[in-house]
Amino acid sequence: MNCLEIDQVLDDFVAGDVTPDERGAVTAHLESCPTCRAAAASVQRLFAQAKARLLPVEPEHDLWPGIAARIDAARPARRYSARRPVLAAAAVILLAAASVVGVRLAGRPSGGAMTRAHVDRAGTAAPASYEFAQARATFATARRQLVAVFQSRRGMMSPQTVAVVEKNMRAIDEAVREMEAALARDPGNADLPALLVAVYGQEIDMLQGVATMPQQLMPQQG
Amino acid sequence: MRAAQAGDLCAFEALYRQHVGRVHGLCLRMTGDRDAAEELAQDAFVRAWRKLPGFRGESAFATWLTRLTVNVVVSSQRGKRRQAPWAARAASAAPATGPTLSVTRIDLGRAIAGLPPQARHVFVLHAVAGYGHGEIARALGIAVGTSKAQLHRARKLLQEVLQP
Repeated sequence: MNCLEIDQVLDDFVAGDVTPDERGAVTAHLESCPTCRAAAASVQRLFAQAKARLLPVEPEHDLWPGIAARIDAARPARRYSARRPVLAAAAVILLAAASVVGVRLAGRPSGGAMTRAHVDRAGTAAPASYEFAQARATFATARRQLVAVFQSRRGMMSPQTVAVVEKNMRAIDEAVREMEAALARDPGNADLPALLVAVYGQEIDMLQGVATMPQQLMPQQG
Repeated sequence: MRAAQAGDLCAFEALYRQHVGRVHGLCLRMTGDRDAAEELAQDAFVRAWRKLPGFRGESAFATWLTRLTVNVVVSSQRGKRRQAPWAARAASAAPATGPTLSVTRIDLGRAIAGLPPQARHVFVLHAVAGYGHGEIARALGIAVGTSKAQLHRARKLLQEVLQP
């Protein structure tokens, strides 16, 4: 073999992808040719560096949220369990109550803060008090059921998902507490009942998302 | 692994965390493009999720995932045939901090990114992923002789630009 032929087979030689005859011929040439010996060493270094240095490369952004979203989007339609219609019904009642509260409040002559007369006629804290009380009771019932479902499933959810749900629940509960306290201080406030029902709805929506999460996205037990 | 195969997304996320560096790195080295690499790495994991139930464990999971990633990259590149002019890439890869630093000092990753596409694919599959020429030929849809010629070309270009 001459130097040109050696150059053609150096990649395979370094990779060990040569026949015993070729190996013998290349080795014999390298022993007598310092130029080709240096070239072989250079090829060896290049491949060793490539193998050692080029992987892994972490991406600049976490790709998982995009991957999970695409997997989620491609999955079959949600399967509902026997108890989900009950939960859905609770949310429907809540929404209906919310709309009644909204209509009542929007239809008030003043359109602004309620007068003491409105409050007195209703006999409770607000003119739409019956609907509001219904909404609040429905919310409490739906929330209890949904929190129970969440608690029963939390062991099957990723710690990140549990943390996100709990963080949102804390934020919503805090908002509810603040609004209820404000309503207690200012029972004639025109806007707070509708806002409260909207916040109740947010929490129910989020918890329903957890309750109706398809089984295939949950880790298998056992 | 079994949990992920059975549809456990959390278990699959754990596999993602374990292998994303290799999958993304392979995409990056094969494309030479960071944005494309992130997109293709996502594609590879989405495809892996779909195909995971069919993984029989005949090879190591990392090997299976590497093969799948290579297929994803090659399919995406087939239609594009994007050319990355070697000279322009090499010039842009050269540090601009002064005459004492020359083009020969550019790092290997950037040098590989500047290779012509087919030479880059063959070099990465051979030197980085550990493929033989037969596997490379099958993966890229080329002849074994072409794979050898492209590896030789890639190695020559890299030595030229990297030599001290």
